[in-house]
Amino acid sequence: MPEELTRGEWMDKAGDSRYESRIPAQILRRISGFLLFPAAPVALFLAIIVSMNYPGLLPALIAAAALSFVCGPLAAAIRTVERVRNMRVNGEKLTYEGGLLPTALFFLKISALSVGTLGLYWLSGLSNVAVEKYISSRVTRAGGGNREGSYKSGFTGNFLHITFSKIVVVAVPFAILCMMGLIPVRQHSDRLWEYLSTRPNVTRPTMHLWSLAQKTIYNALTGQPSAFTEKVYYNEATTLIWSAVLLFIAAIVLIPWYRSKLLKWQIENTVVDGYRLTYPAVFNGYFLLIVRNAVFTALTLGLWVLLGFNRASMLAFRAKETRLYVPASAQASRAFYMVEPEKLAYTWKDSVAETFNPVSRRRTGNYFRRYWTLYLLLLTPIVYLVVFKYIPMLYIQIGAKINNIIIPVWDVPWGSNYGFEWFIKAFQTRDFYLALRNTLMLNGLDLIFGFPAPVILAILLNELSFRRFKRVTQTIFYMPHFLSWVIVASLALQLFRPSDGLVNAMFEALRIPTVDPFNINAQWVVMYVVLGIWQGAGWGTIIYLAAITNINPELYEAAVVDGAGRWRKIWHITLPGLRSTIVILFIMRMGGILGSDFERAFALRNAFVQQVSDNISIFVYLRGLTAQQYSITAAVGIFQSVVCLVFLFAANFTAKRFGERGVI
Amino acid sequence: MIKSKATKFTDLIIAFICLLVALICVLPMVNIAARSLSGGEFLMRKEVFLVPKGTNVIAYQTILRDSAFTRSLWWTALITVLGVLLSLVMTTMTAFPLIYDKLKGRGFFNTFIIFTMYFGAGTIPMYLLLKDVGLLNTWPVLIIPYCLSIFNTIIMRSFFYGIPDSMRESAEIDGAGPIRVLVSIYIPLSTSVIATLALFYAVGRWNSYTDALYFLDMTQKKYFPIQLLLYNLTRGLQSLDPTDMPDVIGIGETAKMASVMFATIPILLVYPWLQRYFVAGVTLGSEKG
Repeated sequence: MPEELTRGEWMDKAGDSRYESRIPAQILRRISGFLLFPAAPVALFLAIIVSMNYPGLLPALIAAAALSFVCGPLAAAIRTVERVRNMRVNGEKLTYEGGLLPTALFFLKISALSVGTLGLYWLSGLSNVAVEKYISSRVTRAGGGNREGSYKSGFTGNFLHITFSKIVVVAVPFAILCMMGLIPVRQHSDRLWEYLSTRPNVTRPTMHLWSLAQKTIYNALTGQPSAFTEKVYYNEATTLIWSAVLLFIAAIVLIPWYRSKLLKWQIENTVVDGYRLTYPAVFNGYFLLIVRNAVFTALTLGLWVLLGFNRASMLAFRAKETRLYVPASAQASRAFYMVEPEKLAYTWKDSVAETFNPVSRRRTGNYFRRYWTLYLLLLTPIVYLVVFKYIPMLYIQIGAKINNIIIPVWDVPWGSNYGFEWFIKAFQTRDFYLALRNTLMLNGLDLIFGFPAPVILAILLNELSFRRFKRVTQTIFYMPHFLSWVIVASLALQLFRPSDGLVNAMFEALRIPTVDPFNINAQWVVMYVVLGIWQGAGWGTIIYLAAITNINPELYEAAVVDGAGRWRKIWHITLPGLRSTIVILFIMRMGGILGSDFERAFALRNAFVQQVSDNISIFVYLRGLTAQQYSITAAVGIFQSVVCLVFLFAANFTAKRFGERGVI
Repeated sequence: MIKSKATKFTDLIIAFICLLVALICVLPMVNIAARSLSGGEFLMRKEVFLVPKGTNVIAYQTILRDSAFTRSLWWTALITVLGVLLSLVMTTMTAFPLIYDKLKGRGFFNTFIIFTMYFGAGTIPMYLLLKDVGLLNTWPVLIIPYCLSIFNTIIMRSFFYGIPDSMRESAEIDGAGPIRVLVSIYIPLSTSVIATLALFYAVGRWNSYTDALYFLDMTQKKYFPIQLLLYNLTRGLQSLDPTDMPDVIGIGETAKMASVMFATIPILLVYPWLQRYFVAGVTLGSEKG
């Protein structure tokens, strides 16, 4: 006869019962959980398969299986004792008087389940073979002869293969793991968690589908309110129903459908003696597959129900043998329900109705109703990025395949040297070696001479004291940035023309030897760097000027009071104030040390100076796009991207080591 | 503060250096302008440096009469306008949702978007993709593949972060959805950053010739943007239509200069008015790169 308690009284009474989880208990929990279900059957399964091929390994595997058969139940038994002994109710210790019986029960359970699972596997394999035999008996072949057929896989075939293996290898095991409780399913109901947290012995907001199922069965067996009769459980009920529906659909509809498609594809693309095969009996094959999968799904589910029943009986047994703990809390929880009688009127139909009624899902429902437009906005950019940034990453595979310009990338066979063929060849190519050298050389010179230029220019501008003149100067400094490299190149062509260029005319007037950078390698490199400074330095000052305005002006005033001159102020205040900006920009430049500026180099280059002008991007353009050697240039592209990424991370890491803010 | 004589003197020196640098920036353009306006015979005699001699506008007339050039100019203007509009819409669509703290999956979206800034597949995979998609040698290839710049998105996102959340929240309390918030609050408040990004995108599109070089072949000359045409012209890979050329000495040379001026002037006319904005834009972009 349960006591009538108010909620507050119940909380007072039950609030003191707690579970002191210690590390050994936690470890035991994990180990027993693992050894019991996944390890034992898998070990047995492996033992059978491996021993067929490597008989010498049989004893070791049998030992392993036996170990998990013995150790698993043992660990579980120890854990049970440990768990009860760590429980405190009203400060009192509990005792456990179950003896060895639970261990024996566990042993039985594991043996039965493992054998059952293996039997199922066996049957499943047999039926699979039977279905495939049936299908292959219906395959007709136009030609005679027994020569080996060839199989042509096209894009659709590949797609089917991939998605099929995704479903079979990823989705179904994932669902099974969810059911088994190895992957926690996040509980989305705050109300459920609120309820759970009032119960003793519940400490985490996540639960496993599997434990949900177990709990439901246990509650049904012990006559307690269960997932389907109790409002507070309705989320559990929903979760169970939906996961069962999804698994069922996956198992008996999607997989056979895919499989039949795949089989049909395989058959119809197999060429024997120059004739394609045809398969007329698609429906029958499909039907057979559905029946087979339905049967095995039902069997597996039946096994799981058995498992749950077994587990529930274990829990009931343990509860009976554990004095003081379960009876007390069971009474308490009954009492808890009694003080809120409207909940008892709830049936599982109501809970299903509530699931579909948006009012009860106000939190998530409201969120999506309010913010779905944000996802709608993001949809287009995401699709864009997937198509134009991520899918090209799949095309990288051409770098590891045989060079081919006709067949789609997907169908080209893989290259030799485990796909590294083109990387090796690239490093043996003189052009690539030159391109690599030129890229490093030009970027290095840019870093040495081009990097400090905007800093100096910014300090100069900062020191400029005529307001209006300063503004006009800044505008003019920014101008070259807005000229394209084609224009800059044609300017340079004019300026450095040996006969009548402006620069050469000035040099002549000043009696300096004239220059001809479009013909002489060394002069071309100098011109490349100088034009880079010309075009970019003014623009680069923007960031530094912004950083300078962030420097506290009081520092300058204090320095003036101390008698500092212009140069001291620059050296001791402005430059240190720019330090972090300089470091960050330096990181970016270091990250790009192997990046190559196609527009700049290509606009300035010509055939006379190609020894120094052709960087990696020009190599890729000339070799890849012009000469259609896709594979080697794609490999070079990967090399470049990966090295850039590595450099960026390295530079970022170094900057952080020196106490600066990184960029990533 | 009273300045000493020495300080004033160094002030003047600094001003002089700045003037010099400014001259270095400007003189090449002046040189080209002078050449484009000069008579061909003075060019041949190497007499034109900064002031045009025998001033005339025949070169400009020639260029404007050349159908390939004018068509390319209009075409580039068109794809610049289209490209800028598309890019701005895309950038706003990317940047705006990311400022919502509550957005579920925001971390994922951020990573997903920013990763593409640090790692790219490269030219060849892009080329093969465009080939498979069927965009190769069509005009949208100049607009679509590079329509979203992650760097510019970050600038816009940083700007949006600067708009106080309380404005958004009060609008939400009044029942405005995200689209309404974007259209009624964020866009009106961010005209400056939109102008900056429009400038960045426009300059990028106007000045770029790489994509046309990569993805258009020589049979698609009508889609050549102005910079690629200019590249071909100055390299002698392509010449102006000889039937339109007036019979003037050295017209080929001055016409080239005039075409350079044409390709440059639109941007040089625009950027000084937007200076205040793009300075702020670059600064925003550097804050969190």
